[in-house]
Amino acid sequence: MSRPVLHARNVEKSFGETRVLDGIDLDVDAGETVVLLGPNGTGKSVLVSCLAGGTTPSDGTVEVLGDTPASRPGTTSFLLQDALCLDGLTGRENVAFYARLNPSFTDRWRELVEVFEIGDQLDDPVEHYSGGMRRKLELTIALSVDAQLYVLDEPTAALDLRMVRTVHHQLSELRDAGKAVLVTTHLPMDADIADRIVFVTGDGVVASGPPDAIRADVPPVVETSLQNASTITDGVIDGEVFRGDGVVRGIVRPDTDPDSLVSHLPNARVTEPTYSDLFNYYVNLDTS
Amino acid sequence: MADDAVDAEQTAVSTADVSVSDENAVSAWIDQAGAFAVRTVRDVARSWTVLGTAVGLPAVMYLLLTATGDFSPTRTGTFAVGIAVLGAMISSLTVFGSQLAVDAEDKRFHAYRAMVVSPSADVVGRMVAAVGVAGVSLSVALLVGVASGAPIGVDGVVPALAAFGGLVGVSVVFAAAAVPVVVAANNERYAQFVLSLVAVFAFMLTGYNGILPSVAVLDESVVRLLPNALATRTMALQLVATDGVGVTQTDGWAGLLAVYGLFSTGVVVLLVRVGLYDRGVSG
Repeated sequence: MSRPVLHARNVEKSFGETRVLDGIDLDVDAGETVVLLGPNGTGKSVLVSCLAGGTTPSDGTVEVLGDTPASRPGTTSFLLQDALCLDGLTGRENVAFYARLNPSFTDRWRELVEVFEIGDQLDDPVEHYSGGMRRKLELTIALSVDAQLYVLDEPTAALDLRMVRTVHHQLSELRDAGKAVLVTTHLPMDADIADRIVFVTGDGVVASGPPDAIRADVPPVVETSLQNASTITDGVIDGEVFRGDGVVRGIVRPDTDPDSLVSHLPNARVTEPTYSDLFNYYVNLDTS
Repeated sequence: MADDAVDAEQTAVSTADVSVSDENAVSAWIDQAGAFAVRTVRDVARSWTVLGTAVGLPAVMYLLLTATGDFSPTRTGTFAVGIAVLGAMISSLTVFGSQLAVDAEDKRFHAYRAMVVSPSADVVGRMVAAVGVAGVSLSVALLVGVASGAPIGVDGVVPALAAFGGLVGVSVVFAAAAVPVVVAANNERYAQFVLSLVAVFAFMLTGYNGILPSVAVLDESVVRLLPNALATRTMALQLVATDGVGVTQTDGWAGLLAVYGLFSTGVVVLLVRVGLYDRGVSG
């Protein structure tokens, strides 16, 4: 049986009297991409900081390649949201700083700045960068490190859809090269690259599994026009409908026949859950 | 089979590829210290606020002070040295402290910990940069003094080395003094304001860094043992080119300043390790 690259059990973290993490279990294997989905404010950044060695948990155990995280260089590359860029330096000087700081930094940054389309701005001060450019520079720095585990906190935040796909491609290449990749996000489309999805709320891990399996656990979804929203609320979980692109969607209650719910409505249909539906089901609805 | 292969590969990675030999560890430490030094100098060189405060302010202070009366050449020389050392104090405090404060405010130490950055490399790198900027500040203030007629010069290698030792000693001590402020403030702007005040208060409390004991708030027996007074009096005795500069130096000043410097470096490494690189075991 293979040993996971990242192995975390019963991870807890408190700041004073405030408990941010309560008993999180998580493994990430070599050649696996795990996407951690959850709403803002549920401690995802604190969790990944604990897993990458940036913070020590108040309780529980975290092991990377069998050791305490960050006990030796080269095991983990950690992208912490908005923490890497040094505003007073140019993009190139930022890269040079982290290259000297991290013995596992490679020349891959030359390729990545072109892939992320920031090569022409590399000599501009970072304080003049947009949010998206800063994220691309941080990604360049994090992905230039040759590590066994990549822990990336919201790597696609502030990026346009085309660039999100580019990031997905880069992360898939890492996974294909046998690296373990852990990504946090609240963007459902990031689940496209997941070998395993983990949903986290304030209550901890509420669901975990391969995308197909986790999708199979979600009841059917009904979709109808905005005007019909009130007519389906009785048949969907929590009476809650979610808006999007001129339609509303609701996740059908287990005791309700989806077809009967839409049969009398024009412009209504039963459909497969999307990743957004999965996010709403596991994060926003009371499914207990 | 596939699982076994992954297991074997991981074991190999954990015992060989990722392990760092002692030689590599030293090389990594030097690289990390260099990274912090270069980054700090680059950042400061573009910060008009820091340059104005650390380099410009002391020169202006000297010109204002000497414009208020008709001072003897010896007095203008000692004023130039005292205020130049104030510039070095402000530089080392603000350069070292503001960079630490920026990193603390941006939660960058989480990333440094994950990269296994050595706290001592961090401290030494930033400190080298702080001493360098302090040297620039000191030199500018002294040059302004020379340009305005103060009898300042260096007569040989030994006086130059003694003055340099004084600069390093006082810079290291005041860089170290920045750390508790930064850890307590956790805010760059607040920290920078307080750090400048620390230098000015130290200057005033010790009677212009020990060159005018009569205006010092602290007793002369205390002032003569303080690092800023030790450094200033050393430089005054070595650099002011007149007979008798009106100050006396404490016996064993060099050893005392060295002890201050080494002790401060040790304490600052400990403070940075505990206050900024500690991962918060108990939250």
